[in-house]
Amino acid sequence: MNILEIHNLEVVYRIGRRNVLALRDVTLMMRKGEIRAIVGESGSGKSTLAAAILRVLPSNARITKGKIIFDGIDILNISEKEMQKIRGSRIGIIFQDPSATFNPVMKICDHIAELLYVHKRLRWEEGIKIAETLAKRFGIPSERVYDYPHQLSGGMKQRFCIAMAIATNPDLIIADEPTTALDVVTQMQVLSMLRDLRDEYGTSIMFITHDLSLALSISDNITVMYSGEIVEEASTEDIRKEPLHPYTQMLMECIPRVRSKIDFRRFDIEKIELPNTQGCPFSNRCRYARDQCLKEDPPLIDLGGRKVRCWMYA
Amino acid sequence: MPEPILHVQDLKKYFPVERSLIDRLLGKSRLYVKAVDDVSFEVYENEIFGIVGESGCGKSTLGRLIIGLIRPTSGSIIYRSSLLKRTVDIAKLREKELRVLRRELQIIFQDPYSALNPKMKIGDFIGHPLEIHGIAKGEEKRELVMKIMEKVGLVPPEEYYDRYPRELSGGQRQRVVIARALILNPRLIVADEPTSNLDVSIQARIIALLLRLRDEMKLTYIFITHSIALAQNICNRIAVMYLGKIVELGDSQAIIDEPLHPYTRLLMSSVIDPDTCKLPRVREVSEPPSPIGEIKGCRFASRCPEKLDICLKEEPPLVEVYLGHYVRCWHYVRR
Repeated sequence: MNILEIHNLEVVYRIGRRNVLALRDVTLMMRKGEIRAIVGESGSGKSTLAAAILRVLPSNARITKGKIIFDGIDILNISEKEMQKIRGSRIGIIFQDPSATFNPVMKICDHIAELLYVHKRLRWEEGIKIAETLAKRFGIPSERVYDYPHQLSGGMKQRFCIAMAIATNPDLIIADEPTTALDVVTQMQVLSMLRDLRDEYGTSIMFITHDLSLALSISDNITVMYSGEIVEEASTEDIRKEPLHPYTQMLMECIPRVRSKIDFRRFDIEKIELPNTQGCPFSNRCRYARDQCLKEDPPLIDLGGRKVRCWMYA
Repeated sequence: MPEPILHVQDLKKYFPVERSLIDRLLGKSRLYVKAVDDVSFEVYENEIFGIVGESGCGKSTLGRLIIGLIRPTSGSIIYRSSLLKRTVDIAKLREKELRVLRRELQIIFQDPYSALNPKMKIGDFIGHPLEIHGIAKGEEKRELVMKIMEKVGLVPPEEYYDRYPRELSGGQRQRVVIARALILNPRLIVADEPTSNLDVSIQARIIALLLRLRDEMKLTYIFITHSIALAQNICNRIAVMYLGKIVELGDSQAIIDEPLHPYTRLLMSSVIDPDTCKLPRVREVSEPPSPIGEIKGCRFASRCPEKLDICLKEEPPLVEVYLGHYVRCWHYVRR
């Protein structure tokens, strides 16, 4: 059973007088209870994808093609009012910057109580009680829910963001770079919390990150995006053992490890880093690029169980 | 042993915390955030000296102190200047002399998006320091800028000179920032998280560039990063900072082989190894203590799995355990 199905999604941004394709032909199926990592650099379209699923795209963006089905509901074809019932209730959201999530003049407990009042019609006092239980669950003393956001450390704020995202017991959590603003140690704690959440409640999690090593450590499956397209999709194990797309391979090689040293000097090649407008967007950085790659964008090739967008596998 | 180019001694930077009116009326004393607290180290010519720590440990403040962007509360920063042909204390230098010294000391910031002026063509942006310091203008400036653009991989330079920052990717922007830092032919560069905003494949190329430039232009780097794995990959020596103090200092390889401080070990254990794909289990959940006011005993004690009674009472001294390998931990103090 799929919790989320995205079919041939295309999103266009209007910038000045130009149209910029942010997502091209994105098709993605997520099973119930799956942790799916979406990996890509900034500008690869991974955050646009999240915004499209939540229907919170900026005003200059338009979905020009495709379908998004969440738990059987075609969410691009329902009213904003119906969408509000899903957003924050059935789909939880965790953003990169925890301080931007909270209203600075509201106590943490009131955020959670409000959320539960709006979505579940729970009385305020009940909401506050739930806030306290959630705090304990995430290793925070329950009296801290009466604090204002500025009184908490970044790690605590992010834990409260997760608490808020799961307060309504959602089916899907979209976590957009949830640990980027955190210290390495806190980062690991937040990751284990997300993983425990899935293990205990079967919540599906879409984990969006630019850091492949984080994706490898937490997810079941990985989708790698480059320049608005899916370039590789496989189980985490397959990506770890044998990344197929040259971009994924490059990412794997460049992760700094503690005990073995990378010879950085071999990456000092002087080529332009902007994506090609024609052909495969990665071809200008690709060490295997051939003539065909410069002319024609490869299709997403199904290799049975995993997919890759590269002419080498055609 | 080569001569040190920089000698930081007992450096302190305390930022006062705003008191509320009530606190002031009640006569409560001023509190301070001790961002950098009694830090000493040397940097040798042509080395890459890493400063590693989590956000809030004071590593960026330390970087800004070294190039004189902010003034220390006390302590000295002895720098052997080749331009002034003498040894100076950056901490005590007047603004005018500091300005001359800026030609030798440069900084590269983390965010290449906010470091660039969006309304300035990148060629003019890179060449701006030449005009400020009255070194070159017009055609001469253009030539120097082209040369440096070629060096940092913005090729062909003619194609980039008249572009605006918005037309560039993150990696290219960081190259522009690096080019501007290099245009005055500096000796010492503080690189403050120069690759943190970039994906690892671009990070690798920027690091490769920095390594090549070090050889070509005989540069010395102070490399500030939160990633101990990255520091161990590129630095000759590393200082690990925790809440304003250096807790461990030594050769990169020595720290890889035998990290001494429990905090260094905690940092190393939270690095994900992509080859095993396992989520490191970090057991401790406690938070670091507030940097405001006095900390009694060892500052890491509240999170330390190996703490002793003395750790809660007294601050450990920095001791040299092996030659050139220092640690601030009671476990290594011979009593």
